[in-house]
Amino acid sequence: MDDALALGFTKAFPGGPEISADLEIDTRSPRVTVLFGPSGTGKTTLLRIIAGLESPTTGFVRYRQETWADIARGIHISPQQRRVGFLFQDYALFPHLSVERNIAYGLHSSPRAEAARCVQGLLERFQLQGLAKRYPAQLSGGQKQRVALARTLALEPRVLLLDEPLSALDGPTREAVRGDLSGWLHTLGIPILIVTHDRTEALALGDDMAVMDEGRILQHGPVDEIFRQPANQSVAQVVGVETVVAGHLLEVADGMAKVVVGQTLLSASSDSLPRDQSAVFVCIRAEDVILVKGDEFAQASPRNRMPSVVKALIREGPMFRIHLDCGFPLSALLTRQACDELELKPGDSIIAMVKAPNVHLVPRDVRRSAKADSTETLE
Amino acid sequence: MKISARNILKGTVKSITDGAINSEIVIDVNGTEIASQISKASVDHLGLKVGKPAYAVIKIDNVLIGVD
Repeated sequence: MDDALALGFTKAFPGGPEISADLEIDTRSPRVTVLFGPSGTGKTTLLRIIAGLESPTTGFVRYRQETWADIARGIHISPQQRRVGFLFQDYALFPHLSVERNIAYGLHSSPRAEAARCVQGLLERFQLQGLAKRYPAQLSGGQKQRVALARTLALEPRVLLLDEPLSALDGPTREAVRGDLSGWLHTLGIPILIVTHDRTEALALGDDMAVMDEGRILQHGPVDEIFRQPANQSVAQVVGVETVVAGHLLEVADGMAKVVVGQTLLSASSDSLPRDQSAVFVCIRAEDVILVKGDEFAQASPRNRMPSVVKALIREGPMFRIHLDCGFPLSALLTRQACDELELKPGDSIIAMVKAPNVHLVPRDVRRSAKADSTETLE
Repeated sequence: MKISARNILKGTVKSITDGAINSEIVIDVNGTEIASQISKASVDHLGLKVGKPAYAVIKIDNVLIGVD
């Protein structure tokens, strides 16, 4: 692909695991790619190599027609020449500079009037006008993040890299900032890579996902596809949730949400769901699904009772993963004994039950994906 | 019982304590108390009342084991 950010490198650490990246990101239709995986798996190192802050041990980094690094040819372009924006985990603001001087820091070579215009534009864009004279110590976590993002964008980067952008925030602030951040990122028009090990962040911020584990990229594709069709058991284990489908919130009342997925109506806990958000991802772990055959257990407490058809049974060690169609694809994880007692086989009709608190809703940004409504195929 | 959960314990409802959204239900299973949290809507739906027979259903991955 001529217009890709192309990675094909390894990075070895003495006595440590080797990191290996083989990834192409299309730069023509800017999307947000989430590098997702457990801590210590090499995600931040991968970002630092793209930025030019570290060199790979072998291989290359290319951006469109430019070679940013190529070990065999002795090429290593500096971070400044690459024009990559890097938002550090702790934001790395200069404590002795005001908000406006932090933002202007990289603009010293620009004419003064032009720099001032750029800073003013970024202050407005990130709603920081009233804070221009303040110092980082006088800002909240969310405000610091906006300043750091503004400072990074002042240099008009061609690629933006964010390392765990919400990890420095406390829980309630993180939830509030997550929605804002998603909105800003999708207006930038440049390819963006975000490192996170948080599934909710990955769903809320990413269009695409590259799943990493033990130094390797295991799968790369649209976020919902990764959750729906993990390429193998390792990916399924890393992403840790088997059913992620697009849905629409109908109402929230008394702490419970009603959400519709295709024709299926579900009840969910409405904890942490913004009230003005109607597009959501509906997430259900396979372990939380109980199957009932016949009507012997006609009355039970779970709010969600979904008539389903068994599509497939896949053995996973002592467990069986059951693929169901309940109006949308749903996975259940059962013991072998449970499968035997239910005499499950493909084509069987069955009731899938899920408690409402086990149906997790994550806000979904419909602006970003033309795919959002292609998830109607999901729905 | 044709249900995938491995642990199905028959008992009687010992107490119902309502919260804002959910209720805590205690089921007496032969002298052992099993506590559960379900929505108030489910309490109404099932017609649960103290003294009524009910089942506690527990998936195996939700059972913790300890020793003295």
